[in-house]
Amino acid sequence: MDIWTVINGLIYILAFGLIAWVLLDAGRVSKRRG
Amino acid sequence: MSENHESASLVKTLRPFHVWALGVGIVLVGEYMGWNFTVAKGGILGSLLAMLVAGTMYVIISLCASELGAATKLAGGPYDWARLFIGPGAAASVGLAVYMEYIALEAADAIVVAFIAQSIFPELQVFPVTLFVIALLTFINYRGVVAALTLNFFLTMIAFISIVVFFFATAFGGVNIHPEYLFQGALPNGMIGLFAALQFGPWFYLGIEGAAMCAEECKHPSRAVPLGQQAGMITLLVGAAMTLYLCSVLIPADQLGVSVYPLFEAAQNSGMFIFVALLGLGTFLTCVASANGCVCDSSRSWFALSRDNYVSSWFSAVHPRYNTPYRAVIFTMPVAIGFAFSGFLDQVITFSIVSGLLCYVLIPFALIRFRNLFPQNTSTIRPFVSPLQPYIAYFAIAIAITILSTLYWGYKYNLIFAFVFYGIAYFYFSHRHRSLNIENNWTEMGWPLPSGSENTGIRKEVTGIGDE
Repeated sequence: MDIWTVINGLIYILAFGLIAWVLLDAGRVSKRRG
Repeated sequence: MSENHESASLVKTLRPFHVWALGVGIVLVGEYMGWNFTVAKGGILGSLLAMLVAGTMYVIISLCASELGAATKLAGGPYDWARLFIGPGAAASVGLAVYMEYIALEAADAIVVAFIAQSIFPELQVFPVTLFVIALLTFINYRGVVAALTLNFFLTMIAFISIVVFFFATAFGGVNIHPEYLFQGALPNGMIGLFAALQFGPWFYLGIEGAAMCAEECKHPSRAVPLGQQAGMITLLVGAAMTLYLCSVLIPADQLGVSVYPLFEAAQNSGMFIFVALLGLGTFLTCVASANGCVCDSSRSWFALSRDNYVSSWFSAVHPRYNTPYRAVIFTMPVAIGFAFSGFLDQVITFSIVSGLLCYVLIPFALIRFRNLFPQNTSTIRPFVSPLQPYIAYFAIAIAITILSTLYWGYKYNLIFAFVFYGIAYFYFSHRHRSLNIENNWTEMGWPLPSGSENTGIRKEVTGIGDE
């Protein structure tokens, strides 16, 4: 596995990590509001 | 006001420089790329004419937007002005037009950022970088409008200063120029080319009206909106003139008309590494700034539509900690990703321009109605009084319709599709709004009843929300 495959993979992980954080926080806030 | 309106409200923290950053941040990308298609159609003279005609229209539009934004102080911008002063059908059409305009631009900007990154590092893939840009900007806008627009301020400032430095270095003899390019490509397609070039004129300024959309989040909207927006318009006029000069004397007209990144190419032709680096950085940063501003504006437009029940009121929730319309912000993400990977990006961008031009017909019309309904020049109703109104508003409508008609050359089907789309939206939402029977009054905004309201019944049509 070359370095660019790792970098592209890391960018995917970062992107999905940000999406997951936003969705989890939104879900938590919505649940608290009932 | 909707019964489902959430108790938390948008936080009032923005200052005039944030308004400037939002407006110029979205638009400046159009000076780094896109405007040069005017040269392909009408040569250097066609481009100059398009810049001046579109510039005149946008100066008037931004004056109208400043007056309306400072008066209403609402997040929906053009949507709220149409809702208050024209009617529900026009409001829904404008709200959707603004949403589509900005979300399509965001998708385009994210892809361009990915392509620039790939041109620097060829092994990088476009898909993950585009996805990352959209996700990162959604995250920043989710966390707070101040952070998002402060970031925009710095990105935009660097991109604008890059143009200014390059211009002065060229103007004072630091770079070898080719004045003969001006004459070689002055008017390649004759008078018809001048007319056809108008359709790309809006690229110099497309989206500046969105600066007023943060009015509800400004500390002092009566001052911040006119100041930030007019300063933004002056910045863009100066930037447009500098850009046209630089590219015209550094790139032959036949190459300029098809260039992807004209300012960057002009820097490459100067043969000086410092300008290549500066304008390359500027191209990259202005795309990020534009996408960032687009997330902010499209989410506010969707939030405003939701708050008044034009779309599901579920989207009108405000985050209790960050005071952002968090569901509307999140909703920009799947739509932008869908547009970005649809494979029809050029069609999407054209749809964005048609949507913008529809707004440019309806914003001055909303101002004319506003002036008719509220002729009083009191500071409560009209904190900012735009000069020569409503005459210049009629002039702006005439220019917008003229530019819209030039899209018939080359974009006939996009134009027809847009008219059908917004026509259906107009009639659907007019019907839906009547069945919801929402009644509100102007007193919530601290305004008197509009003149002739007993006869027009406009009092019943209007939903007034909050004030400073």
